[in-house]
Amino acid sequence: MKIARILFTIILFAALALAPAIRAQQETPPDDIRKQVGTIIVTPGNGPNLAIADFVARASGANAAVATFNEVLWADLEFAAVSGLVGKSLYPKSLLPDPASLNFEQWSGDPVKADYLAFGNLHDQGGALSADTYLYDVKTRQQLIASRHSGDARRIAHEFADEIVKLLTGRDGIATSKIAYVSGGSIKMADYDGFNARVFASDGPSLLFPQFSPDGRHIAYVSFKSGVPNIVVRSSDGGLVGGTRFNSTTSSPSISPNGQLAFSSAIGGGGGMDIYVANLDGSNARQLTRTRSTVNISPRWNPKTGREIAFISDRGGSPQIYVMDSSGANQRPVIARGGQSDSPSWSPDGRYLAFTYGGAGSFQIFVADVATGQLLQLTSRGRNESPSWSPDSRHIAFQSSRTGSWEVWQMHIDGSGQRQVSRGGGRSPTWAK
Amino acid sequence: MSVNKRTALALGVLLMLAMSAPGGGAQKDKEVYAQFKVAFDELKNEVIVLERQVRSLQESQDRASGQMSTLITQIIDNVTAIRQAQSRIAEGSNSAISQVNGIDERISAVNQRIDRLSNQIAEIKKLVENLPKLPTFTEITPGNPDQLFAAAYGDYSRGNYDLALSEFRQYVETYPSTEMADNAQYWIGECLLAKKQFNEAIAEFDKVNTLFPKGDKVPAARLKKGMALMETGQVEAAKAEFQAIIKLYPRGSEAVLARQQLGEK
Repeated sequence: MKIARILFTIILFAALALAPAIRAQQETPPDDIRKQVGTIIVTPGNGPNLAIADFVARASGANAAVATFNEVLWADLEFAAVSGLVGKSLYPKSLLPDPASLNFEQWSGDPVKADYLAFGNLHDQGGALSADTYLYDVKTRQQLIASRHSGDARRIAHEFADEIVKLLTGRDGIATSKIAYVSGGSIKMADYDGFNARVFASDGPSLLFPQFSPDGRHIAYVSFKSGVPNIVVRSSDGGLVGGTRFNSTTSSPSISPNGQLAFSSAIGGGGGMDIYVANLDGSNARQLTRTRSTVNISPRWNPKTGREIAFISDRGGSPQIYVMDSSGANQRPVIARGGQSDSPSWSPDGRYLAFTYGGAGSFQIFVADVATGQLLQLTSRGRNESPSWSPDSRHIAFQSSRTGSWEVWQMHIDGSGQRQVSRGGGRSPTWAK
Repeated sequence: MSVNKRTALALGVLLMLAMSAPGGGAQKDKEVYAQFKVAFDELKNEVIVLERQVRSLQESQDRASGQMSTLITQIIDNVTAIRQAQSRIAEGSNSAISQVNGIDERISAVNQRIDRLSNQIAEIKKLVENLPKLPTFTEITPGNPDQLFAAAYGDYSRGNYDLALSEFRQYVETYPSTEMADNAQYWIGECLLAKKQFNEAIAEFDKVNTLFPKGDKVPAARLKKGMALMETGQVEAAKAEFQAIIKLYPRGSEAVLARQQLGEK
């Protein structure tokens, strides 16, 4: 018995001695938002290494298209931030148009040391540009992708980039996603990287606040066509769905995942603005907030659940972010820290709220963990406002004044990788599949 | 390696250029200068590439050596602990002479078991370290109600209703007297509403009133109960609930919403 007790004591002792060490290994500080978002974005040396060999032209006159393709593919995968990209200066000099020309040692050994290798060729197929695209695991020598894409050079590069992202992460990429934004009083629609911008809507002297529905099939915005600002809802191919026809200012629309419209309006009278929910065509409006001469604006559905709405209210003095059930019940402040908050935007996975925060002329983009309320500042150059999430919840589009005029910019969720998207003016971006 | 070779090559070119430079005229000088510049730029690029590589190597090395030193510290700690235990056993065996017989053997048996155990622990530790990190789930330190609540609400806002439900339930069970307990009870009802389990939701919203009658969540819970009653077709009971809200909390936003509900139906 005594021995058993001694044995037990020893084991207990050893276990106790080890326990703190094991716990220390397990405990990533659960509340550190910077660390959290850091795991979402892969930085070089902190994940797999991807090499992208320049694609080879196999048709006369395809040289310009190949140059564009190579440039776009690189930019897409760099911004996707799902792997480190091995710099092209380290690559072997020989061309790599197809698997038959692939020498694995050249890519797995020094100095490339790639884990994955993307390559292929562009050729002419019945008058259309076509790309044979490959992805290999260089270490196991396994072919992961062998596919063909046809169309415009930018488009097929985007498609291949998304194919690679899907394979490496299991999640949909964003290279084929689109953004809409306000430019010169009209609403423009463009590829996610700002190219192929075109006017989507110009039905009014000055259009504002476009917002895609979570599925990207609809877009709502504000028009002054009737003289009083009201909401217009269109399908993303341009067809008119409906809107509001109130005689008081009605603004900042947001569409729920099941197709309901939230907006703020002064129709209640009393000198304030309140939040309403209506059908997508503007019918059957119901009032959710009712606070005397206070401003309740910028409603934004939780796009994941559709059960909650974040909004801005100045009922506590300065404009702050509140959240309520989509029925209007359970209204409560979520981020209250003085100063002024504006334009909340709920991430598609429901996890984060991005918003504009500041005061005295300086406004920056912040991200808050919805669960803990912890904040992370993402921008600091110029004024930065109106954040909008990428469909994969890993990137944010916003408007910035850093170049001297408002333009749409993009960045990763940790604030890195900031790049300009619009040229010639851009505000209030919205981003969808 | 090949970077080094290329660097050497570029250096060679630089040297040759430098040696041949004084021989030529102005035109040649220019050419040489241009070549010189190209070679120099190339060198610069190589240096930048090398620098990057060294830096990322350094970082991964730092990380590896950090993990290694933690491991070493742990091993040393374990050995010390075992040694201490051993010496204590040895002392004990000295004082208890009658039990000395066979104790040595037993100690060595114990030692073997300890070795085996610490091997097992090391293996477990390795397993734990190699567990894929799931950034979507917050790890909860036991005894931290705020973290539990945050995790529960985080799961609710991401649509993980089952997980959120169990976490809110755990919260109410473990921390029934904290300020957020009535909130947690309210969210249990919300999770059930999200799952369209209206009768269960009604029972849980009732508990907000019975368990936390002084909490600020009672009006919202009663409103939600009324809405859930509507969903199940119990219109009269729902109306009674809405009227009670208007009567008991006439100034709250819930009264406005209750009036709307009555007006609509």
